[in-house]
Amino acid sequence: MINKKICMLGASGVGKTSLVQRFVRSIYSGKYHMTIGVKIDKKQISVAGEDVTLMLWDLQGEDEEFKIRPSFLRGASAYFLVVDSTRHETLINAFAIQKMIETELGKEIPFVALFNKSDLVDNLQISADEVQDFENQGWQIMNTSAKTGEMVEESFVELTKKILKIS
Amino acid sequence: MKSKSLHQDKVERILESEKTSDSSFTGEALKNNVETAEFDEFGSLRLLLLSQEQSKISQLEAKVKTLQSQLDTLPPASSDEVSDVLPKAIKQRIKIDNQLSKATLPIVVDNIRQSVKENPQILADALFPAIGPSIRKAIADALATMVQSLNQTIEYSFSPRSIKWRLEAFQTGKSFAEVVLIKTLLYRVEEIFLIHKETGLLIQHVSANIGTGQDADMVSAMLTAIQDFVRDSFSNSADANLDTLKLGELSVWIERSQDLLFAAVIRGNAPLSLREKFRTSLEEIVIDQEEEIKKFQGDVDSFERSRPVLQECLQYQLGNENQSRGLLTPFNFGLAFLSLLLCIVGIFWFVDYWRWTSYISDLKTQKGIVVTETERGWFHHSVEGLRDPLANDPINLLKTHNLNIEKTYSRWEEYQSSNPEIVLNRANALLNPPKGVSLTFANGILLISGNATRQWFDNAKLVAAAIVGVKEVRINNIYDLKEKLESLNVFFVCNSVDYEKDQSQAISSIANQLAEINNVAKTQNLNIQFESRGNADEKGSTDTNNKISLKRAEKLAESVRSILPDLKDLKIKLNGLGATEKVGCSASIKATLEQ
Repeated sequence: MINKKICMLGASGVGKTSLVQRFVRSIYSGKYHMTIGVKIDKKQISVAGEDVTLMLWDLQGEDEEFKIRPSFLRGASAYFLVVDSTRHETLINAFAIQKMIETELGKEIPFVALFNKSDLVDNLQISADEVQDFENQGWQIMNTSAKTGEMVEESFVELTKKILKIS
Repeated sequence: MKSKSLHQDKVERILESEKTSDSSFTGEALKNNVETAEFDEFGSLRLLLLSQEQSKISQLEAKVKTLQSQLDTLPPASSDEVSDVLPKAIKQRIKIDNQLSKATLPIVVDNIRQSVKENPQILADALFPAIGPSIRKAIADALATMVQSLNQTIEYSFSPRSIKWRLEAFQTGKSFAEVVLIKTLLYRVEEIFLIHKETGLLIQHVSANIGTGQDADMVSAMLTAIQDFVRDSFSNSADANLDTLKLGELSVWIERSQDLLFAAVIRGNAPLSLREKFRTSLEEIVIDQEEEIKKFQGDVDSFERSRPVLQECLQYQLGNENQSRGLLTPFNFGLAFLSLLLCIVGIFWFVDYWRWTSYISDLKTQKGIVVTETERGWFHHSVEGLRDPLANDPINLLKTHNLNIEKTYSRWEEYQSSNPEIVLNRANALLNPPKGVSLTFANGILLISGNATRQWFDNAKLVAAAIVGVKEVRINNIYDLKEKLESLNVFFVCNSVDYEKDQSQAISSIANQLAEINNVAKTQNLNIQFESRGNADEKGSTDTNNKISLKRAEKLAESVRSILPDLKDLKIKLNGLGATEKVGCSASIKATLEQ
């Protein structure tokens, strides 16, 4: 059995906790509960015949008042950068976080950017060009919806593959 | 290499020069020896036998002398040459044995001593980085232990609980400190988490419970997060650590190595010395699994062998066992025996008390007995009072109440009781009434009724009057009743059948007397006849007198019947006696007994 630490990072209210809840418990609540500090969950998955226990560190969303504590990132095998597709500023924030992590932990830690709330198709504020730009920078981007469950499972599997270095 | 060959060359040159001078030196020595032999035969014999050896010894001595002088003239080996070979020589020597260490030890010790003597600060500065943190931790632990013990001492010295414990210490013969320890250090290490410090991932987990409430993986991650949070929030130092978490009676003790966290969940109040055990176990794991820890990538299976070490740390201490052991002390046995004894004595005392009290109260209700004083002791009881000879015997009462006669002192003064029952008994005893005579006593009046001879009644009347308690004697004998009835008269107005004034009392007396005599006769089965007799005065004619006297007899009979409704059918014979000298205008009733 292999255990891995994964961090959920992103701006406040982008849906980090909802994604974890959808992935771990297959539930979704429309109510917003702000995470204070960190919330920890656990899920076992099997990727390419390898059983992996993911310890999911759902960190408090970053905003003007609160910045992510680097100490919580220590020892993470990978991380998700969560962006709210209906709020453009969350992408900027995610970019800043990614740069901060590169500084703190190095460039080799894998991550996947989740453009969440993809079900709200009428309110999307991130253009295809922007997505392309980030992909060109090496970002792997997946459009997810914690509400519908779209691409949620897949995104966790994808990140686990990155950890295990399975292409 | 170069310096070595130079040295060897020098030595060889010396030996070469020695060879060239050998022959001349040997010839001179021989000549000297021959001259000496001329004076001594033994000397010549020695010369013959040992001349060759002596010659060789002399040669060698000369050779040593020459070498010594040549060595003195050589220049000393340069420090460069020595420094070149010394480290290598030391390394080689250490590999062979520890002789070098032994040889240098006194020098090192002496040097250290000298250094400290000259300037202690140098050594202190050198050692501080190495032992400073350890000393700090040791002092902190010692202080914490002292504070804990001080707190406990204060708490246990002034509380009611401490008095109880002191009593227990006295009872069980243990020291007070030991009792306090037993009572307070009840704890159990319930869970141990071995956590990878950097990732917060759980490496190993052992639990004293079969099923644990929380997921150990999540607990360990959260524990790591809490530590980080506390450190980030309240301390700027990266070295600051959270050592203890406390929640009610649960506490989490955390020990750490460079890469691992050792978190023990403890229920109760554990001694701080347990930390030492945790620390040792952690060190043991760190040494044993150094490689796995360094290469840790989330693979926890390789840490399975650290499990027994952690399980050893699941320690506990139960106070109840000690307590139950305490119950079996001789003191407690004695106490139990004493309690039992007291119980038995108490039961006996109570039974005796109950018997004695009921005896005394029974005695007080007895007729003819007056209790004046009682005393109840552990071994003897006593009772004093007055007793009529005719009263029940108190000794018999003692028996009925199951009291020991021999242990009861009774002192009874005789007296004559005025109790009606006793008075009646006394009258019966003194009068000894014959068959057919009965005695009754009430309100001080002794009534003697029945059928006996007239003489007996006369005697009884005299004796009964003298009996204590008897105020009046009444004879209910039928003869007296008959006499009394016949002595009563009612008077009429002359030449009339009307009663004179105030005759109603006399009429009712006659009626009552008649009723009484009728009753007595009935009870004694005697046949009695009543006759109402009328009288007249001598005035008037005989015929008139006869008629009026008969009417007077008839009127009296009617009056008597009217007073006594129960006897309205009583047969009363009428008799007009006519003119009689003595009684005149009157009437009376005569009773006649038929045997």
